[in-house]
Amino acid sequence: MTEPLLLARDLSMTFTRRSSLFGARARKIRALDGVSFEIAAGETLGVVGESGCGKSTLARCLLRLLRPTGGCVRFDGVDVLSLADDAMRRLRQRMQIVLQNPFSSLNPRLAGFDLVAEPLRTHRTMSRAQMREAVAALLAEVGLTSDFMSRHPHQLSGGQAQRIALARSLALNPSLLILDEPTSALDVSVQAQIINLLIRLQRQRGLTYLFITHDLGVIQHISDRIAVMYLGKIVEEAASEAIFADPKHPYTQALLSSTPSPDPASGSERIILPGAAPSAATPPPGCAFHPRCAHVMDHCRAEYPAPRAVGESHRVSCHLYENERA
Amino acid sequence: MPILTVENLQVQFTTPFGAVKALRGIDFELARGDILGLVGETGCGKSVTGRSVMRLLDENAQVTAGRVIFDDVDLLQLSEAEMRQIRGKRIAMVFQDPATALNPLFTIGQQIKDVLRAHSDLAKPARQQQAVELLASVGLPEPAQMVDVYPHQLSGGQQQRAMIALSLAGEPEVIIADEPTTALDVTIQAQILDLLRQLQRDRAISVILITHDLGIVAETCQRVVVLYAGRVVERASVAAVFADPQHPYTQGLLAALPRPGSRGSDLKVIPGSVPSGLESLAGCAFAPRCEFVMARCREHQPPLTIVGGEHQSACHLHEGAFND
Amino acid sequence: MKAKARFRIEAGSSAWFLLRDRAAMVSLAFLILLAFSAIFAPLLTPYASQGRGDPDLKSKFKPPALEHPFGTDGLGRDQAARLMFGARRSLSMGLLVVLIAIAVGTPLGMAAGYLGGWIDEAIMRVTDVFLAFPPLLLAIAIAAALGASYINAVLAIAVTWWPWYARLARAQTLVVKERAYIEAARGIGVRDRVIIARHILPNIMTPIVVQGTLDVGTAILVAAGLSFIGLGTQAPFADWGVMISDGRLFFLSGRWWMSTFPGLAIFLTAMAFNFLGDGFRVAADPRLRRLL
Repeated sequence: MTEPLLLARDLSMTFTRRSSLFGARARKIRALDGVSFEIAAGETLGVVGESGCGKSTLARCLLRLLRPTGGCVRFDGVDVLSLADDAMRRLRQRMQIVLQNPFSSLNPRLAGFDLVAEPLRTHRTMSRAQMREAVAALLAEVGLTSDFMSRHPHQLSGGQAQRIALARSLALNPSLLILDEPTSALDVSVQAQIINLLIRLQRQRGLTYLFITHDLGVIQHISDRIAVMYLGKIVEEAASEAIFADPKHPYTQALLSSTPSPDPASGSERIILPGAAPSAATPPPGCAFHPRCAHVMDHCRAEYPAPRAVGESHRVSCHLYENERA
Repeated sequence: MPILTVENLQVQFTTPFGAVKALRGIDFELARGDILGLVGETGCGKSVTGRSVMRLLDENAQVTAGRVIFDDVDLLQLSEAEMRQIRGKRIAMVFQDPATALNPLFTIGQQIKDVLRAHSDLAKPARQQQAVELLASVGLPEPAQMVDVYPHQLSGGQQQRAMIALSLAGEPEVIIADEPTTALDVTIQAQILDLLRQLQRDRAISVILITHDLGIVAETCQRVVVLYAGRVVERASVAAVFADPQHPYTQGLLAALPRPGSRGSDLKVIPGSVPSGLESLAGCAFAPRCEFVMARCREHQPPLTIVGGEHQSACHLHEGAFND
Repeated sequence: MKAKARFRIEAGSSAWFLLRDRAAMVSLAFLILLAFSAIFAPLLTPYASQGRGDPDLKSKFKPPALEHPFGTDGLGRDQAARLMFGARRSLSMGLLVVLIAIAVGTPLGMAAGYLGGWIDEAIMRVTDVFLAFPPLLLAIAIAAALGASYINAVLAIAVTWWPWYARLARAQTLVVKERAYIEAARGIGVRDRVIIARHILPNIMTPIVVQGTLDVGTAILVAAGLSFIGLGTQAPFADWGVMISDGRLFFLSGRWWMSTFPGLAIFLTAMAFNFLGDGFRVAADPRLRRLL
């Protein structure tokens, strides 16, 4: 088997917050706890989870925008976490991030041209004419005319601004795009435009996506495989179809069932989870989901279930499947 | 007879850039005991509609036409003092972000008891008792302790439950819930929507649910009003709208949603973007983005037309079809 | 039609709000007039040489009249000409102090805020040392140590002033640093110094310009103070502080005009800079615009 484009092993991130001025008692927040996965070139891995599950921290750790406190990240065979700063800066050409809200991720003082040209200025040497040509081509690729070179972010609609952000992230011809809720701030009709664009770009450029979202409708549409996160851990990972057709983990089942479907006839019995997700500062012992789980057993409270295979490339961390064989 | 009727409601905002028309004539009825969905994208006027009914608009907003009939009275004609007797007592509001809608300086119990003091003749011990019962009725754990808790000590879902308990304190007949679950996670959203359905069922409260999420409408509401650029484009029962949407905008919105099995295919797209309230619209507001646009769409605003039963849609396409 | 609407929205920007602020506009007009009369002083007065300090002993202590609208001083010099030439020094001292303070304080503050760690600690402790002294006393001490002159007075005041801008720039940098576009730039691999220059600096300039405008008036006042006690502009040249100092002995003996007019000039100029700075502040902050 060939090496995956991106590989994470046992990735952990613990934030230490000083609770008082003199830091007598430091609070530890385990935002990521032993996260492992792989993404093959050209594939889309969807990461889904609710607020506070660590999905955005994961994105930042993979790009080393945050330094993980444990584990290993390999991108195209390179150990990302041991690179020197300058080498890391150069590697970022090949792995780019698109953030949720384009109006906060685009510097309000810069015009479209400067925004899209910034990565080229940073990593390439080219004349201004070449740069204009490159920017025009990038804008065309995301469906914008060259008029947008002179527009500032406040003159754009949400969809146009997210297209600018996309053009910017494509400028250096990356292999991997990490998309952190790229459509969550957009209206439905505009969201569809951006999703179509992302799928088209992936086909044309052979891009690999890590797509982070809380929206199950969006993630099933775009992902080949899906990882479900709960409180800093991946609790289930499988092919997109398998997650939707045959969810194994009780949390995945509840998540699917809680998502309102735009089809009044679907009327299936809803699983309504009690309570809320616990804080990562005070995770419950054993399986973090056990206080809300309908199938909770005694050893769920004591021991975290190791991930096990329950089908072809279907992994789940739940004691319910202890005796099953893949 | 409907409990609340909104007729030709028009609202505009005075801004440095000129008058912005937020509502260009909204009509709908809220039937007693129903959950009515007001749905639309950013800037369609759904929140302004809710605030107009409550008379909670900002100072730079003016209602330029229309009526809001509640119990045979036009709320827009009432004095501020008379309106205070309605607001909180007969019509209550639940806001999107409970963290900012609850006062951080007072306990949940104090805030509920304030409403009870204003809107009921309960004595002090009875108010305490009532506050505990209200918190229990919205499903907060250990309600007797919850009355002494400050909003920041609650999770987002619990805050929204407390907000709903607060809105119930005046025993209102109507609750206007403005994006009540947008700030919440999906599993918590499911809890809150379930609570709203339960209140409607057990207390016969009529609810206007303002949302941008068609899924929420499909699962929670009986009837739905689709807004676009400050006008009603379609209204009907939820079953009718989702099974057989008539207005091209509603059709486009539904088709734009990713659904199970749609993976990798092109989603249907509505080209362009919503017009700003600064522009005056001669014809149909949706005409510039509509795939079925005709010459008259750009000149004449289509009226709401009955397209079957109680299903109405404002589109010139229906004229030929139903007049023949 | 579309383009027109766009233009109107642009017109609703900060500049548009500033134009509607009457106090700021009157102040701006006053300051432009003042700057104009300072720059073109030799062309605007028949007494240019007196403005530069030449005495005219025949016409000492003349009260205001048509010939000398602001009167003359103890060496017979036309006060109107002295005020115009004095404006050159007083205005330039105020502006220079603030420009130097911004030029020194802003980069240090941005470095402290963006880089954090020991660099932050070091820079902030240095500002603490400067801020521990009463600013006027520190300026007097430095000016006295450097020797009395126009440029030394400017440097002395600027030394007491830059820590304020370092603190302001640091505080603003800490806010802007958390914005998503900074993370986006880091994700592209942009170097730290480019991030500071391109993404942080333009986004923290508004409060700094506002503070700077407010400060020019105060700086003129402090500079006049140094000149008043003889540590600033030296004879035969004059600034407004020197003029007040020259006139103070005669104020109670009936020659009120000598100190009054330069005093008024300082007062009005300081007030104009305050109104203008306040106008900038309100125009730049959408939350304050409602109050208009």
